[in-house]
Amino acid sequence: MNRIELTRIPFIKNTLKSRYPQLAVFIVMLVGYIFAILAGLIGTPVGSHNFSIVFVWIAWWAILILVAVPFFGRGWCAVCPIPLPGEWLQRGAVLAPPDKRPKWLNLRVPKMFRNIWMQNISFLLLALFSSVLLTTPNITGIVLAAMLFAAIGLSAIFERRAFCRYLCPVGGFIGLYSQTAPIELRIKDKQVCVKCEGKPCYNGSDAGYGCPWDVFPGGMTKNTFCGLCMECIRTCPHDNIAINLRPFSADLAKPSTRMDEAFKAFIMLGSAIIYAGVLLGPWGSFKDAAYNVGSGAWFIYATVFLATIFIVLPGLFTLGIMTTKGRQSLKQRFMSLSTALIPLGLMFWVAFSLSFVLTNASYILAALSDPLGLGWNLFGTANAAWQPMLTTILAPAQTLALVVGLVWSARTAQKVNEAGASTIPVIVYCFVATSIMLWLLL
Amino acid sequence: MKRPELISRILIVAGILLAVGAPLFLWARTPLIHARMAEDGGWNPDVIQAETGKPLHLKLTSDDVVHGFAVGQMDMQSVDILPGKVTEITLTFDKPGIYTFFCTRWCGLNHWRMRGTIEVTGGWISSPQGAHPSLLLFPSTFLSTWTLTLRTTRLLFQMKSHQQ
Repeated sequence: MNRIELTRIPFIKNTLKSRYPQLAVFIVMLVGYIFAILAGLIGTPVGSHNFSIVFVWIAWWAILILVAVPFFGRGWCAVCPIPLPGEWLQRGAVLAPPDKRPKWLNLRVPKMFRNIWMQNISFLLLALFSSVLLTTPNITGIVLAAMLFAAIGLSAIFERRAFCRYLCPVGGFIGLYSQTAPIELRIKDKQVCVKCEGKPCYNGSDAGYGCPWDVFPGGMTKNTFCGLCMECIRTCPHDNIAINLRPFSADLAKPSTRMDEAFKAFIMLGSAIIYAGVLLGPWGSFKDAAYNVGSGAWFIYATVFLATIFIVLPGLFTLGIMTTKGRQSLKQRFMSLSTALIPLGLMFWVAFSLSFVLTNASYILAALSDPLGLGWNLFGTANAAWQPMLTTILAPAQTLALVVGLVWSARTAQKVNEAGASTIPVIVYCFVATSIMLWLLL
Repeated sequence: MKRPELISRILIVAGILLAVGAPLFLWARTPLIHARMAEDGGWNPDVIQAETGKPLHLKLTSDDVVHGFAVGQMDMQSVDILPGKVTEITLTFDKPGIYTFFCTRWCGLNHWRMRGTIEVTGGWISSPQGAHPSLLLFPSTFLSTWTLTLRTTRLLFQMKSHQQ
């Protein structure tokens, strides 16, 4: 299937090129984000009735993992309000053409941090405390505020969106899974970029800012680090940037060559399995261990969590691919074949999220009418009863998601595998992981 | 500064002020009485001021489990306080004094300790019924029996804790 250039449609192109629609969405999102922080800090401590918990961890998460990431890749990053205040501070303007003189330190992020290891660590930090984070409004409020202030602070020290690119715990996995999305931002003609003087898409011009994500669009072959901020569409003097519709997982044909991304795939896969066991499983002792942060049981839980992600899952994967022979080194094969885990991990998260989103979605109505738990009834739905939704299709939908993930991973393994080497160990690995997930969810 | 830039900045600042100010303002204007298990603090506040003859509007919410609310020396039906929900009740006092309010739901090990006081000032208001709440649903005889049962239960607990 060929790509379909969406930016050929004048309405889409003009909407993306103008700053105003995006700014309007940014402002609405920022208001919602700050309200979520406030709701977490001053609203009812009962999570199921607090806007911060219900709208962040149920509504936003559902939109993100079930719609935004699978279909729009980094579409969420395009409207995420976290970088807005920091960028204003960094640029000294919201819309005005960039000033030649940097406003703040404008340092380049040190080379050792120019990868997604920091994002892996920040995600794991949240993951280890997730039982508390997902249920305690003031902790959610503090974490949301910390992310906003971290983004502002890093904007004052480093150039571009250092927080989004290197630290955001959410951005890391969105980037990984955005490779599967049927949408991409790419250049139209490479030769135009080669000949282009000044590279305004990367360095900025009077028409707009240099890529906030520190990506040169001319060399981009994957979605991973493109935040879809549309700045390059505005700055390209040759109209050489396009938004394309494409087949699902087009980026996965090019295997990963980075260890940080390979481990991201294991982190996401392992987290989904552990969450399914701890948050949805019937084992009360697991839930207690995960919730009682700082207790002995929690330290055991944290150790098992990290060992599963960093030792057990990658170790078994390595043992599997060691049985096959190939021209590449084991390390290269590890990184390359771990690409097959990306669609599997995404579908694990889809299946896991379906379960708790459909179970808890009815809380959204009540929280919408009384977001702080102050006894309001803004839309007449404050007393909406908790009611699990679509329970009859939940198990089939989860099973379907997992099976699709398995088939998708097997196909990806065959694509990224070097000629002649067997993909059977990777497929068996994916099959075993899927069986475990199926058992945990059903 | 160009006009679009100025308008954008104003909109962002206004949005931030609205997002911060509106909830804080509304939150500050909605005094709630929070119920928590006695181990976690009990009633907050646990002392409430009132005046005889003036209706006392209370908004109660639970921060953890289901609690109940009732005032001793008053003929009233206890009301349930649900987690994250707000229960409203209006009380009117005819006699000054210190009234005890307490949890009527078995909410935890120290449930019986979950008490607070309403300090009522002012003169006596003549009423054949004495102090009464606006919410009168149960006959007083039933309530008296119920209160007696509750007090007996408390006494038993007190005796048990002394023995321990």
